[in-house]
Amino acid sequence: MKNCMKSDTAISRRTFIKGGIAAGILVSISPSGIFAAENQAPEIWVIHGEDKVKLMKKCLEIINTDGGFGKGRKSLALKINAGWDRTPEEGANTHPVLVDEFLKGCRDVGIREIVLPENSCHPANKTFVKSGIFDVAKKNDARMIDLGSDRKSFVKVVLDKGVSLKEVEFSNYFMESDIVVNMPVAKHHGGAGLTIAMKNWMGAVRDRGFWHKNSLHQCIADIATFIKPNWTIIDATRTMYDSGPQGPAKELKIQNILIVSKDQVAADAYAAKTLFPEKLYERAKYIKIAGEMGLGIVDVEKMNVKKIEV
Amino acid sequence: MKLNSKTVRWSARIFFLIAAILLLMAGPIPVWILKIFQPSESFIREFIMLPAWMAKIVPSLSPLSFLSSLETHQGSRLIVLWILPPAILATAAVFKGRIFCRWICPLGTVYSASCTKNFKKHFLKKKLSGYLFWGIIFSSAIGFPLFIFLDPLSTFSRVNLAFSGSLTLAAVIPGIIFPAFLIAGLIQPMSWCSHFCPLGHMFDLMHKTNVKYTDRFRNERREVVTAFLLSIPLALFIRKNPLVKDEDYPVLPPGAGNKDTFSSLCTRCYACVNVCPTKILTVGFPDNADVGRWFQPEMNAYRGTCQESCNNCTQVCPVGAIRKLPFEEKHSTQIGIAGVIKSKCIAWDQGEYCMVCSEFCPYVAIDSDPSESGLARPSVNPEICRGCGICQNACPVRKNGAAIVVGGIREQKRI
Repeated sequence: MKNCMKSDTAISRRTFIKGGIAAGILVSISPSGIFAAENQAPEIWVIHGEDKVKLMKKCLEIINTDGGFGKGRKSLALKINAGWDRTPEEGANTHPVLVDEFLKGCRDVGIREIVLPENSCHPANKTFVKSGIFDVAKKNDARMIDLGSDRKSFVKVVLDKGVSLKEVEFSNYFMESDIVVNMPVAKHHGGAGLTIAMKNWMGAVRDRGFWHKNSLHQCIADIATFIKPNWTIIDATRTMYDSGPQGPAKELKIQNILIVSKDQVAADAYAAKTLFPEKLYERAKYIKIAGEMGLGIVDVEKMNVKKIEV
Repeated sequence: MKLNSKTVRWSARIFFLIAAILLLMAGPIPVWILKIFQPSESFIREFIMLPAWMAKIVPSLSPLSFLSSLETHQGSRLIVLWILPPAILATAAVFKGRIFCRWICPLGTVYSASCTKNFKKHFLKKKLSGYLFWGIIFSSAIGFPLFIFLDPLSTFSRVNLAFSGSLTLAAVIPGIIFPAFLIAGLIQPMSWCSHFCPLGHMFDLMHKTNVKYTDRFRNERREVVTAFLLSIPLALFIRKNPLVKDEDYPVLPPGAGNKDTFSSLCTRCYACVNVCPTKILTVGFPDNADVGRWFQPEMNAYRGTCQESCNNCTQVCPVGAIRKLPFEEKHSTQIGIAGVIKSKCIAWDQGEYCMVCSEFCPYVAIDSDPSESGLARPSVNPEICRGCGICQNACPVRKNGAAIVVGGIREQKRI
């Protein structure tokens, strides 16, 4: 409790405003200002191709033609998945080639400050390096942040619309940045059935244990009421069908797919429905809950899906 | 000319002291040191200046701990290569006496440098070094070296606990020998070296002088007899302590084998604790009747996890208390078995889905034992579990400990 108070008092002006958004006061200038209205048919781009560089180039092209990251936005927080002490090939973490290409693209459009905060599951000194993401971040002059040892960066936010999760200590880096992008890896998950986009935010909070103790699926849906990334890019180049979240999986399916959307709930639903066996989709209850809570459209039929081959 | 030789000796001493300090820093450099050099970095990559195995060089120089471990376990775990440095020092002692103490010993350097100004109060009348030395020799012979933790090179290696981020309450007590004699040296100069050091006594004893070895032994008969009469019963008592329950096993570092061998061989130099990157390896708190276990390195999974891809601690043991395990062997060695405490477990007790332990387990050792309604509940497969502690570390239950806890086993084995 003491720590929470401390971080509350140490809030900067900017955080204060964004913290306000969190509490639902200033919705209009939230970080998801360019977020498409939730009622419209969400646009999903599905890019297929073997070359990861080409996949990400196409993805950046889509982002840039569709409003980009917004004008005058200079800082970006990228949520990758680098939670596990596993190599890129094993499919437990976001693929470093995709991250590399994305960071390059961000530099090209003039984004100055890029941070990659992550509260990893295995010790960060292993996961950041073994996932290969630390090296590509360094190459592109982006800062990778180990939230596990940067406890001061968590800010307590109140989730008005949260059902199970009414309060969460969320990493300040995402609230201080102009742009938030979520780049998870899609894979099987022992606890949640599947982990794709929404579940990835568990790596941005301080106390994951609370989620497990208080109906995990509801908490995952609840976090989507607060954090709405500008873009969600799902790495489904290879997907674990079992032994998730860390593997090594008995069945690692090579799908060579990248899913891009502004709507994380729709992206989650689309990826879960089309890339994984029905059984796993059924187990990922948080998707349905998010749909019922009106956080996004989860019916694949109602989505505006654009398939692209590269 | 005289001044000149003094300068040479002090240059050599400082050189060896710096070398010893650098060797202590083998393995991953503590984060707080790295932070000094890169204060703005938010993630500091593990940095290894010297490979972890070098942490064993300083403590394994000692001919005394070598001799003691040779006696205790007939040297079955010692690698031939490591005989060489103590053998050289022992030979040097035959011809030059305490040459090691005067030129090389890092502890000796620090003590003599610090006590240039002192009160010259001789409060210590009796030399205890002889008793300690013979105590070590006799108790080692029956398999439990008693005072081997007083070996000066182990003492020096232990100091690193304060810098490597391993300083716990339990670590303060064994770590206090060094600063205590630093202060004692200010009152009576070199009180450690002249009155306590068992290694120094060994060197003195080996020194070939006009006094015959047989005469020297006769001069020491009081020390020999007292040590014989006291150390053997004491060592026997600690080894076969009737107060210790047979099923009470600590979780030991991989390669330690079993409790008996490890507890007796370990000189408490804590080289293994210092090179542990996650700090799961810590100094055992003396909270039980098993005196032999006191202050020995043990695993505490609340502090960290035993990483799949690490065998640092197995590389550094100077006396072979921890056997060197190649990566593959370490990966398949069982050091403990996790057990679910059903009365605390979210799934077993509250009927909520959790399975965090299964999620984190790198060896897929946690099976699901579904309830009637199909809720997955964790159960450990003891055939696969290595005892790495990641489940205990990750368990969301924290009220009076986790709901899944690693327990020690009688004998470590390969799976």
